[in-house]
Amino acid sequence: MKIFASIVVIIGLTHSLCAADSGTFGQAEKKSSADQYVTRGAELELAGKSTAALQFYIQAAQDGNIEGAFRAGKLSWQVASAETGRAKVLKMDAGLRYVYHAATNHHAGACLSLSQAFREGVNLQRDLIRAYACLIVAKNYDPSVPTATLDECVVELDAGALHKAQELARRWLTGSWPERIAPEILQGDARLKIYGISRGSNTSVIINRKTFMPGDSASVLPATEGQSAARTNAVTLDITCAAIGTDYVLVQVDGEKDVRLLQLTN
Amino acid sequence: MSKRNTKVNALEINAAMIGALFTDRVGERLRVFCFYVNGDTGQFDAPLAENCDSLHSLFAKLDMVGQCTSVVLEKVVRGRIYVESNGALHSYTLLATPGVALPSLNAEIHNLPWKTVWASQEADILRLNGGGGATHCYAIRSPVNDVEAPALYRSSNAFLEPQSATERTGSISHWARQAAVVAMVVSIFGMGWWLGRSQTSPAVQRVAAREITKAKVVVGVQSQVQMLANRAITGPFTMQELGQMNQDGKLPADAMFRVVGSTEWVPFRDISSAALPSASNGQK
Repeated sequence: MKIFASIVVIIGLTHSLCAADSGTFGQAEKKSSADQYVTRGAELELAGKSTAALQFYIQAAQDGNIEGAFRAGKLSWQVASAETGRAKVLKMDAGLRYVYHAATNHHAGACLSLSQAFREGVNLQRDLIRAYACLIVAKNYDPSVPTATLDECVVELDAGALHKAQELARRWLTGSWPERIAPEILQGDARLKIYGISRGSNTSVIINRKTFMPGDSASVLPATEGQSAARTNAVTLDITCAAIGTDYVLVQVDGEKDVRLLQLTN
Repeated sequence: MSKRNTKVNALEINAAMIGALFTDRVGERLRVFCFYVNGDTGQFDAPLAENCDSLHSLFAKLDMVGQCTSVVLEKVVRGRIYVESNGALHSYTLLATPGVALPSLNAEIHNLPWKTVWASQEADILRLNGGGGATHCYAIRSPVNDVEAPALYRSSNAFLEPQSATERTGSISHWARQAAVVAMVVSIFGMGWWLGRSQTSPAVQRVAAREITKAKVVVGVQSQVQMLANRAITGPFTMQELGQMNQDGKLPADAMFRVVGSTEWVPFRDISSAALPSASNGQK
């Protein structure tokens, strides 16, 4: 079924791309096509063909359609929730990028979704200040957002946090959004190698011959190909183990703004 | 002839006299521009490292710590106009100067013979010489990101696409043709925060010169106000009731308030100063 859905998508996209090559694909037509991608994606989503729908939404987003970006993000999150391990992390992260893109382009629904993610700590570090700031921005973009939605969140803030949230929202409303809403997840790192993940009451991982539990920080020697890391004169890396999954580990290397997703390989 | 050797060792600024304050950082130097409520101006630069505490103290007096690095108080703002010219959008914030008639808020403001007296990455302070040469008026000119402009107009409750009488009479002026988007803020209380042009990169560490007109709560004695305290929203209360609760010491110290229908929460001092100017007891 999934294969069939993918074929449908490929045919649909190929048709549109052929039209683009014909030279009559102006900006307005591109917008129109992007809208059609969203419409088609919505039809497929309604029919339960999430994978195919996601591809249409992504195509719309790539054509600059903000609604497409929002839907791509939401659906990515939805699809990711059915996944496990590394695939889930990557899909959740991809979803976040789309939702954030839509939120920073005046999409109230995306701001609401972002707020929920911050509030629940789903795919983002729980942050009530940012959660409420997102709600303020959403309300500004769409006054029909119920005040009660904001009130559910604001009662969780003290005066200082509320002040910070309102200030943050003001900044965002002028377009001063942070470049990234969360650290980018980069796959792999030649300097770091997982030797094993142990599960149980105390999940731990061995990275470059040192054992880490979630939240642990330590210095490690970089792993090198073909020789023992201990023999090299390489500078040590200060790393923090952010999370341990079934087949992956998220590692923050000190001094780097991105997060490394390390894969457990047999 | 003896050579004079005079220098200023230190300088104090009375925050109560400040109508607008701009700070900027260039390398290790701090640049400061003051517009006083009486229309006077002053500017200087100083070593940043040695003056951080003084700057912080001044920011604290103007209630701008952690919020911004420059501020324009509403009491010196006459209005703001957004003018588009040759595809570039700028805002002009006219600063009120006692005894000086300010230029009209229309598109021609862009063509006046302004002289830049202070410039930073995000704003220029302009001076327009008066007829006699002795009096001047000042304006702040800042670029505005056209993508964000609609949201900016909305948040500041600006009037959209105004046509002044002078622009309608006779032939359509050159400026009117060019001004695709001209908006004017006429209500001081309606002015919202304004944080300058887009600055999407967090890597920019420079002390930004942003004008911020602090939001004021529009509240009357009869306004209905809600209180947020102890993880609960209560009310609505009238301002008289809140004033009484304050006098009785029944207002929680960290309570926040909003006018019913608004989403902006403010401390009691902000809401009471607008409605009950004499309220000075209890929570501050």
